[in-house]
Order: sequence, then C-alpha cells, then structure tokens
Amino acid sequence: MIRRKEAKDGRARFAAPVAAALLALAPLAPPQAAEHGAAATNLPAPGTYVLQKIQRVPDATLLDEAAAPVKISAYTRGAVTALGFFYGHCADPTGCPVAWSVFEAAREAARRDPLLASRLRLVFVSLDPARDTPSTLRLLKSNENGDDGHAPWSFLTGASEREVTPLLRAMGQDVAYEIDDSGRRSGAINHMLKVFLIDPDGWVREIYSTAFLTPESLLNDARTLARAFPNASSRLVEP
Amino acid sequence: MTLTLKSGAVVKRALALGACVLGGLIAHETSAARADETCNSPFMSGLIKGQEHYLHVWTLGEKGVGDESDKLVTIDVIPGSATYGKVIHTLSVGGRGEAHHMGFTDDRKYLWAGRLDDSKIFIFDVGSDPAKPALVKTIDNLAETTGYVGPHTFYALPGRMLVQALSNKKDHGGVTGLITYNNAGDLVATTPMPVGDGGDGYGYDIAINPGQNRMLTSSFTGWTNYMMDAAQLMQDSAAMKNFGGTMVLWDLKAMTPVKIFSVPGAPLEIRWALKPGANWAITASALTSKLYLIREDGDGQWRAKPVADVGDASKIPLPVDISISADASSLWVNTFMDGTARLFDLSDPEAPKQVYAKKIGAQVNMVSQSWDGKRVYFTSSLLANWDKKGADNEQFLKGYSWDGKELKEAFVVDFHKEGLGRAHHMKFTARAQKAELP
Repeated sequence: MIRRKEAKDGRARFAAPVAAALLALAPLAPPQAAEHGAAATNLPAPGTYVLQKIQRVPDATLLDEAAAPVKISAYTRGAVTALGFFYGHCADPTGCPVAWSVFEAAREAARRDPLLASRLRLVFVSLDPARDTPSTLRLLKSNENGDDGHAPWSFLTGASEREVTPLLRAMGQDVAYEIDDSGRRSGAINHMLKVFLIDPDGWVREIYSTAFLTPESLLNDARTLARAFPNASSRLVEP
Repeated sequence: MTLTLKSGAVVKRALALGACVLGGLIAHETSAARADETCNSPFMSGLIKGQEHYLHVWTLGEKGVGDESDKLVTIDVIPGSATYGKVIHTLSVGGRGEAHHMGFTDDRKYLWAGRLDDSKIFIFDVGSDPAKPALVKTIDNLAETTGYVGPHTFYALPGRMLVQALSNKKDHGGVTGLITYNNAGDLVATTPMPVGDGGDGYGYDIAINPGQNRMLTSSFTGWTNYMMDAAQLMQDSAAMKNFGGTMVLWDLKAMTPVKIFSVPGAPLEIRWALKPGANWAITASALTSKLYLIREDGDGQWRAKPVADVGDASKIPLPVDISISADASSLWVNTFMDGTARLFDLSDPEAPKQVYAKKIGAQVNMVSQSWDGKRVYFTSSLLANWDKKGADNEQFLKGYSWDGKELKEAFVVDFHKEGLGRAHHMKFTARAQKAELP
C-alpha cells in the first residue's frame, strides 16, 4: 500500500511545475474496471422501460465555485441529472477515479446526442469541504466543461463537513474517515461509490455502484428519462 | 456503442489540483465490511475477504424454550477470543412469526430480517456496533400495501432492498411477487412473478448478475403449504401439487421476464458463479434432489438443465441450502432429512461430482462459508412445522474448519440448551470502523 504525502497545510498546491514534477514521480493510476464492472450488456432500449422512483433528493445548501450559497435543488430540478460525491484527494481505483472517467465519457457522448445535449446535467458534490474549496472547484469546472454549454458539469462543496453531512445521510452515501495509527484522520475518506440519476422532478430514479457504473448504463437511463421528460433543460435557472 | 475512457483529463485535473490527486494507489476499503460470505448481493460494495468477527443467527422462537420469541442471536467467532463460539447478544423482537431469512443493505450497515407467517420485516442496525445489533424499524404492513405475504429473500440493490415474497394475501397460495423498498423502508415498487408463457407465478430466491443485467428467481410454495405440518403435507396429494417448478431469467433494469425455465421440484437457493468470466448459476431442486445448471450456451441461449443428483432421490433427502466457493470450484449442499453436508466438485459445472460428505446432525438446513472457504457454519431449522420432532429436533449452530479434506468441528451452540429456539439464517459482520459521519 502506498500512502500519499499530504501538503503540510492540507490544501492543494496549484503550482503547475511542482505538480508536473510530482506527477512524474508518482503517476496517478488510471481508473480500473471494478471486479464486476464489465460494461453492462443486455440493456433494454432507451424508453422501453420505466425507472423506479427510489427516493427524493433532499434540499441542502451548498457552495458553488464562486463561494455563493446555493440550494442543491437548483442543480437537481428541471434537468436529467447525474450526481456523484467525490473528493479531490481520492485515489481509490474503485472510487472517485471511476466516477470521473464515467462522467467524462458520458458527457462527451451526451454533447453529441441531440436528446441529451440540452437535457443532461452532471453534478459533483465534495465530501471534503476543507480541501475542496470553491477555488478548487473553479479549476475543475473550467477543465471539465466545453464552450458550448452542452451537458454542463457543475461542482459544489459545503461550507463545512457538518453542512454536507445531512445531505449524505439522506442520500444514503456511506462515508467513513480513515484513522491512522496515531488516532488522527489520514485524509482518506472511505466511501462507497454511488452515482444518482435524478429526474427533473427531483426523484432519484437509479443509483449506480461500482458493480454496474458504466457510461453505457448511465447514458441508457439518461436517454430513458430524457424521452419521458422532453421539456427537461440543463440550463441553470438563476434564483 | 463503445466508449473509451480518457486518461488525458486525469493529467489536467492533476495540474489543477496539484498535490491533491497525486500519488499511487491508496488501498483503502470502500466499506466497513471486513468479512463476507460468498452469497451476498454483488451490489454490496467492496467485498472484503477476511476473518468474520460475529455471526448473526435469525432464530425462531419455540414454545417452551426461553422467552419463546423470535430473536437475532449474535455469536463471537473471533479466533482466540475469550468468548469464541459463545452467544454474546440476543435481541428478541416479540412473538413467533416464522423467522426465516436476512439480507444486508448495500452499505452493509443494516440487516433486514423477515418472518414468513405474519410477514413482518425487521431492520437491524449492525453497523454502529455489530456485537450488539439494534432494532431500528419494523415494517408490518407488507400484505396491506402489496398484496403479497411471506417475505423470504432480501437482496441489496444500490439504495434499495429487493424482497422476494413466497405467497399472496388473497388465497395464501404460491402466486406471488417481488417488492422493492428503498433503504429507508419506503415502498418503491411491486413486480408480479410471471404467470404466462409457462410461468407458475411462484417465487423463492433472487440472484443477480449485474454485468449481464440479468436476474434469476426460483420458486417454492405458498403460505398454506409452508405453514402446514410436514407429515400432513406429504400425505396431502393436492397440496403437494402446489410447489413451484420454474425459474425466471429477468431483465434486471426493466424488471421484466426474459425467459422462463422448467425446473421441477421447487428450485431453492440460487448462486451465480463469482469467478470472473463465468456465466452460469446453480441451484438445487428440493423435491427432485437435483442440481440444476443455468447457463448461457454458445448459441447465446440461456438454458436450465439437471447436471447431478443429490443423494438418492427416491429417499427424498431434501437438498436445502447451498454455498458456492468464491472461485466457483465447489459447492456445499445440505440435505435436511439425513442431516448431511455434501461437497460437490464444480470443476466442470456441467457434471458436478460429490467428493465429500459429513453428517452434521439429525437435521441440517443452512450453510454459510467464509470467503476463503476455510470456515463453514451450519444451522438446523428449516421451518417450524417442517423441523423434525422429538429427539431429532436438534437446534444448533455448528462452526467447522475446512482444510480441503475434512470438516473439523470448532464449536457448537446448542440453541435449546441456551434457551434460544430454532436456528435458521446466518450472516457475518465484523467490527465497525470508529470514524463515521459526524
């Protein structure tokens, strides 16, 4: 097991040369397929099945990349939304890297799909507000979004861990903070990877875990919801 | 459509986050689980292949035994522990409602346990302190809200629990359905078992292959039969016709039947081969004493076929629970009537061969093995009215070590002597992590 060195202040350093040097020393492992994570086959055609209404997305106040307080409902209503929880320090190959890659692949396909381009929204909410600050989110947002506004990818965080906790509990996002030998947090957040697909009315209609989170399954279900909600729009409505 | 995952973006993010995303792999666990059986839902995250710490036994209250109530019994199975092999906690839920099976939620923090008579579902918190489970919710309106009774199998889906019922409220026969709850215990959906195209509408077990988007279900019998005295049932020729003889292959995403197989004689527990690349499942038919293989053949067609006899079918040994090894190389099969555990070699799943047998007790029903296959646990009770009578009504949990050649007894808990009742389904847990959500 290789442990990552934390920056002394526990925060990200954004000096590109330093980052590049560190990258050369310790390249990030590419995302790996999960144990059961072979691309799902035998999926029914989009629109030929109905996704169950599993649970409602609770409301919660978070921070956007401009550090402005926002209601999560602003990001989970009106569109077909794929929402995942992440943290920037995550290096569990079956965790956040899988979600990143699936979101990137799904977004790339959605941008070229007339059914999804203006209806699908992607949202990442940080589990680690102390380190995933709005300034970090700004960088991520600029990296992950094109200029056309299609299938926008939003990044949200909390003012504090305590602010995010009720949302995690209500969504059923399991989280545990790893403790090192000295009894202090190591910085790793053990969490079960989950991605939630949400309809424009705010109902969670599918939950993906590592066992079957693939771009194909996510897109298939997103297309099913987009057909059921032709008026869905991924444009954020200003409060 | 095939999509290629980009890795360039990883570098972009690394440059954006600097030290945040640098480093090699951190092999931390993605769940608090530290011990797994081979029969849990694949949607339970991050299977851990270590030593189980606690064994929970869903136990039927028995008249004249202890408090006579159904209860969740917890046994310490930590090697070297001062209380190894001993009962360390019991939690009575009140009444006797035919306690039967249990299943973990996807995060493994909660254990759902059902009763086949009054159809109550109990949700236990086993995440906060697995040594001391706590009852946090009781669902007592299954029949009223769904029309189904007899919640049997509890199978985790992400954020949900899929429940296979055995019977229905209207006539207590075998026609039944599936019920989906979310993890909070709210009803999400009901799905009837198919009755057309060869379907008998019966249900029993659930087993899912997520990569294939396929689910298998099996079939047993309705409330009228499973609550009847076994000897009386055997002599009732009309009642004996009311046993399931089908399995169903489902499109999991759509929750619609894809194919119905004829599998005579009440096919019970279903186990998918967990070996990567394997594309088959196995079950045992109780009344015809056969192992059936369900497999996608070379022509892309799924078929179910008998591949082995379990004992002498003419003597109705009654194969009950089965447990497949993690590498799909072997299968434990319990036969209730002779109290025997049999091991089948599955090297060729088309032709399983019995390679070992050991009498566990006068009767034996459930079997659970550790992920590494080195520990095997057995319990005794089948159904309150089907268990043997008199001296043969042994009620126990027995733990064994398995070295590949011999089962060696490690401990026995006599559920009568301890005043507990009839020992049925088992689940493993391990010590929880200390740091949870604030």
